[in-house]
Amino acid sequence: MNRHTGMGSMKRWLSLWLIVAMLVVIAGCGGGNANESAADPASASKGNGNEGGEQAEQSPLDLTIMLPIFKTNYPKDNGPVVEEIKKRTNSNIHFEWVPNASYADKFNITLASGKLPHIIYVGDVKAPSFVSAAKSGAFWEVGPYLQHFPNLSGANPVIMENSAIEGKNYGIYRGRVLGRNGVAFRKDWLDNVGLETPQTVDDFYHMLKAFKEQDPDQNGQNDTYGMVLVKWTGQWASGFDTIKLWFGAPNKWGVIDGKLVPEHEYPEYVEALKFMKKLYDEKLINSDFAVMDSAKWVDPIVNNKAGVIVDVVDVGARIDDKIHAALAKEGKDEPDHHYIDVIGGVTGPDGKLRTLPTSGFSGILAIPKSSVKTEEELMRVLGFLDQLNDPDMQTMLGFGLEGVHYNAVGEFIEPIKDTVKLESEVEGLNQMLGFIPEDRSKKVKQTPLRVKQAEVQKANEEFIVTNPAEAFISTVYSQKGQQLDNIINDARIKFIVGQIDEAGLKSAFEVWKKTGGDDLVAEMNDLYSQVNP
Amino acid sequence: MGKQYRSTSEKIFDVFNYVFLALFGLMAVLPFIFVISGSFATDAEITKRAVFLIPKTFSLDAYKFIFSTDTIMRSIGVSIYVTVIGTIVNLFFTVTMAYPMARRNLMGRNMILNLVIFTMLFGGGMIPTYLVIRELHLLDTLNSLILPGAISAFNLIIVKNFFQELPPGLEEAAKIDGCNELSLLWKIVLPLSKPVLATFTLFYAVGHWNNFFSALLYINDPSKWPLQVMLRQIVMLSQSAGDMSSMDPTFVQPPEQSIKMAVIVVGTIPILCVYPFLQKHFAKGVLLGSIKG
Repeated sequence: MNRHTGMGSMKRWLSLWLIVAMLVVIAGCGGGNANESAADPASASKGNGNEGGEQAEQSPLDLTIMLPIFKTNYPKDNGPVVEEIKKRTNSNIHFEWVPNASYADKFNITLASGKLPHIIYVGDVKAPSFVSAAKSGAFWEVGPYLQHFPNLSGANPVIMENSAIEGKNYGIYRGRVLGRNGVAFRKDWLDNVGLETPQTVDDFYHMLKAFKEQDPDQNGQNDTYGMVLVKWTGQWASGFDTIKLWFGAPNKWGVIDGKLVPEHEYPEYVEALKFMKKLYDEKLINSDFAVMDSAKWVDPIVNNKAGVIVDVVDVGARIDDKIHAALAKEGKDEPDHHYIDVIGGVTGPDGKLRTLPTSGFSGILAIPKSSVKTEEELMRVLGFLDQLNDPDMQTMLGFGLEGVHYNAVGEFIEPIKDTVKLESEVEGLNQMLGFIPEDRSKKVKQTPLRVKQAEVQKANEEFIVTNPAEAFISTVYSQKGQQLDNIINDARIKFIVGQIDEAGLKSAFEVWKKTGGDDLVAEMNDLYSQVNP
Repeated sequence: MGKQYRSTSEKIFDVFNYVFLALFGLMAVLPFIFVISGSFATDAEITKRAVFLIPKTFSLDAYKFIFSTDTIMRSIGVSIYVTVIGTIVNLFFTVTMAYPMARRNLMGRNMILNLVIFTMLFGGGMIPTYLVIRELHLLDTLNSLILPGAISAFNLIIVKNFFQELPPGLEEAAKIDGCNELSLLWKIVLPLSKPVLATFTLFYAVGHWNNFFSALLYINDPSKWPLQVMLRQIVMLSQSAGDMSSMDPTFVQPPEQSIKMAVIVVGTIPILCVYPFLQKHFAKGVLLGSIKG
């Protein structure tokens, strides 16, 4: 009996003890230190370990860099290329590679944790999490400092503006081709119909007409048309976005008397639409353009059905490669012959050339204040990024070490065939390149067409029409943008295929205003007046 | 008695039944067979023939590529470690907490149960959890994939209910035969609970094996990535190349189809091997004549 109660109480105590133990595990050891705030600076960064700026000049700079990685292999912190970079820049680099597919999640959580690396890649400059962090002073505003560096001072002002938040740059942009858009056409067709490379909108029209009516593929059948057009998304350049500029319409927003005006209120915009209607009526473009998927964009050109695409210039070489591949299957390929030629655009009624720019950058490299505390440190980190943009460093980050990862052939380079070696020692390092002032690395040997593409894109930069509202973050647009874009898209498609006339188009623009377009214009002008007082 | 007479309609019903079940079975199996054969085919064949079950070309290139570096092998090791250790931890803690909670004479039993249920309904969310992990210095350790969620509240309640179903007579009989509390759990209760334990072993193990998101958040060191993170890298990459071009200096070529398939095969086979060993327990009855009625 006595023993039994002993058992009973022991059982009870044992159970209770187990439960307590479990609760402690479940609660995740809640006995943490309550005094330790989340943003404790001691834990926020590993610290550079330099108390003053004097020693900093000699001791290597400690850098943690967070970048996206696209492959499963990644350059190790002690790989040969990274070691070389460390040596040349006098730094200790630790990379935090984040799978690109999940970069946004990881970025947000890193931001929230307060434990930030010294250099962090920001994929979407307009992401709310980054914008609010930048506005609250979590990142250095680097814009004013760039002038002190030989390479970074050459940053392109247009791209600087595009990558800014309310006119302030919170990072070094990663430059991309700015004047990327243009025209690609079948050069062999053009020769067959006996025309010269088009210079003006009229020439362009005559080219399309000849491609429809004069049997450019010389197969004796009337089975060709001029230009392939795909459905408009209102976001990604889709042909019309480039063509409207030729006629003198602005890029999304124009400025009249210091006020922003949406593009469709310009008479030139309607002129461009009338031109498109003419092309449609004369069957110079595919009649299913409104539903054509952009994934199939180049197929008609490759299959000898159409001859022109207005898109990014570099689509030219991709089409050319496909034509070569198709001919090679039939055993009729002429490897040295290019079937495609590219131009930046044609001149409008006023004789001026205008081209559509891209944003010109792919994310930025931001420098958090929690890990880089002083201006001296900031200057060192910027100096590091500046050094990476030396021509030979650009080559090294892009292709590795000469004799190890590539061989020099004349002025060109030839990467080795060992993809695994490249992946685990080189690929990914170019993610921290800004290409400022431009891409000056050595190149793999290019075909004449690719060389010409690069030249055209370079020349385009002079003629780009920038969107004055590119950098603005609009709340109205984030709420109603989709709807507003759809109104315009539907109206212009209906106008081109003849379902509505000009009056119908104008009334659609009125609907746009009432649906929230007026609010959008007001908000944009607010933002515009803050930047351009 | 031999075969019973079955009417025509019954026979027709049976035929349909078998046809349907066969179709459903094929729906599950065929894609997997395609992935396996695709991993042994050359890339040219995959692009040419959309779907096939027997590859015409045979090559081990995809597997050679995967195992040419130690990244995939190491991540498999990480995955296996996390799955094995994690599942043991899960089961130990789930059982040792469920058993006392199944006892009616435990003090504060209802309160504890309510606390557990509360965690099922309300969670801190991604960022607070991350902060907890960080403060515990679990970042960049494999323990961050094992310790959080060591007990799944839902599973805990099911196991607890199962223990409660056991006849009280069993316990008394064991006590009379001189069993103490721990040996009662070890010698009587657990052997009777095999079906339940097998089920949760499988749930926990598959959960660990397929978990990639916590690894993504808590682990910055790529050498500690489990296989699923790698798998996602390889499979997602080909979809992210939308707005890039050959002109982009940082353009990345997506991997070949066959490599993707080979990685999927490598990622699935190990966990498939676990099923047969647990299968036999699912079918078993719960109480096999331990109490004479």
